Amino acid sequence: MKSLILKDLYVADKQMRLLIILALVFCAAPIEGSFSGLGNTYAMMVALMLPMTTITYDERCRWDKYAAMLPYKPATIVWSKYVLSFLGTLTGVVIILAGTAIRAAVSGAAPVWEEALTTTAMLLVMMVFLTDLGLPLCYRFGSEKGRIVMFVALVAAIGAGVGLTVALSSAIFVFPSVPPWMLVLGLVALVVGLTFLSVRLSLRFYLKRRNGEYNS
Amino acid sequence: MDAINIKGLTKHYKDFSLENLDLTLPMGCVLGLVGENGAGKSTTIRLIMDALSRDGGTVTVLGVDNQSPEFLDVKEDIGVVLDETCIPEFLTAKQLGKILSGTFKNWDQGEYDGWIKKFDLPEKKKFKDYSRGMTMKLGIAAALSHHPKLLILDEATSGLDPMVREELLEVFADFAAQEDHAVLMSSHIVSDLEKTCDYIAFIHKGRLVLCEEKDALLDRYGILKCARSELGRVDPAAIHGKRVGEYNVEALVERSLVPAGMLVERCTLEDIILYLVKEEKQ
Repeated sequence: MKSLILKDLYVADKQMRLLIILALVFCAAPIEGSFSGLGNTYAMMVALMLPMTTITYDERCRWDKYAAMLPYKPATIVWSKYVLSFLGTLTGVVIILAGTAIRAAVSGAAPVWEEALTTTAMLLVMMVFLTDLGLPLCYRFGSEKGRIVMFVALVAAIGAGVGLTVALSSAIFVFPSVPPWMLVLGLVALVVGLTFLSVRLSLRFYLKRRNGEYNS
Repeated sequence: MDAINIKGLTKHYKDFSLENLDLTLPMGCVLGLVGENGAGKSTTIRLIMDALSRDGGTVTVLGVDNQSPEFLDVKEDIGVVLDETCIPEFLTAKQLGKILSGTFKNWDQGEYDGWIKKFDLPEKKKFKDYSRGMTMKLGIAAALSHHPKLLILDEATSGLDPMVREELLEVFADFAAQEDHAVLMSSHIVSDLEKTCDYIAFIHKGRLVLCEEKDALLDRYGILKCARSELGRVDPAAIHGKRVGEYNVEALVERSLVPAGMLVERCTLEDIILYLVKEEKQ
């Protein structure tokens, strides 16, 4: 799997480097008003674009045709995209936190960690949702159509994020005896369950695509 | 042990079927898979590598069923070069080496560097700036640098100029010269196969028309040139294809079945294939 991730990082290198620099600059810049969230948006773009870009390039050069000849298990090929998405998310998180620290250091004020952590939490929730929904769709419909579906999913993810926040607040209110760690544990279990389900679907679609059962 | 053993291999698509293919590639030999575009050569290769699920038959590669879990280890001993190299365009030869070193357990970086140098490939130039010849050379360097026992080449010489083709054919011949090596080479450039192969398998519209030792094939068939009226003397079973002119006729015949006294010229592999295809169409 390491070599597949390495391939994807090489492929996305140039585009991602620019996006990461922009995200870091916007996160660290003391931007106020309606553009204050620009840095976070770029950080999310980093997380989102990494797997999408590599899937597009894979399709363009027909990498999967070559990969099928190499000693990789189909499951390894599919899992590598999930790991890549996780790496993209992690990079987004690091950018947001680093941007917050740099902005505070430059302005001399204390860093607003609460805000940064809330944003990273939202990023994590959204990315899990997008990855788990988007990757099976990309394997099923191809990256072009999959990308459109991915952006539709992005809107849905925002709704889910808001819904989850409300649900969690209500849960704490309704079940005050439930300790927060249990809620977090429940959320992690949900994420893991969703991801495994998503991987199974992706693998099924990947094998059907490799077998020429889909036209696009 | 056979390098490849295929029995009754079948694959159905909506508009194409590969039917009941039987093929054997002994170790130490080169098998040429010849056929028109769309005849089923690439499908056969993908089925051999289990990159495509089959609808029937069995495929054994280096002694292992290609649908068993052990086949993943067997893939360590197979080098594949595809017609499109399928390498991402932003990669360099050096980066590809790093990727494949993490892919194959027995990757030999020194060997890879040696091939890159021998083929005069720029290490840091991006793949998108490579010519067709350079692309195929990189694919071959990648396929040979983990010490494979079996080399599978899908149209690896098509679209190349004669000089590069000659250079690559020499590489394949050197590889095949070792007893524990074998090469399966698909191409529609019959002259390349004639130069390199020990066995020839001819696929036409998804069916295996012939699979024989090349020299036996060239000995068996010949071209008979005679007057139209004279052709009647030849047993129809001996004629495998003909071109009829106004007065004369040229026919692909089985030498042993032609009456003595009739002059049969030596034919090329290309003649055999062309006559057989023509006969199939008629």
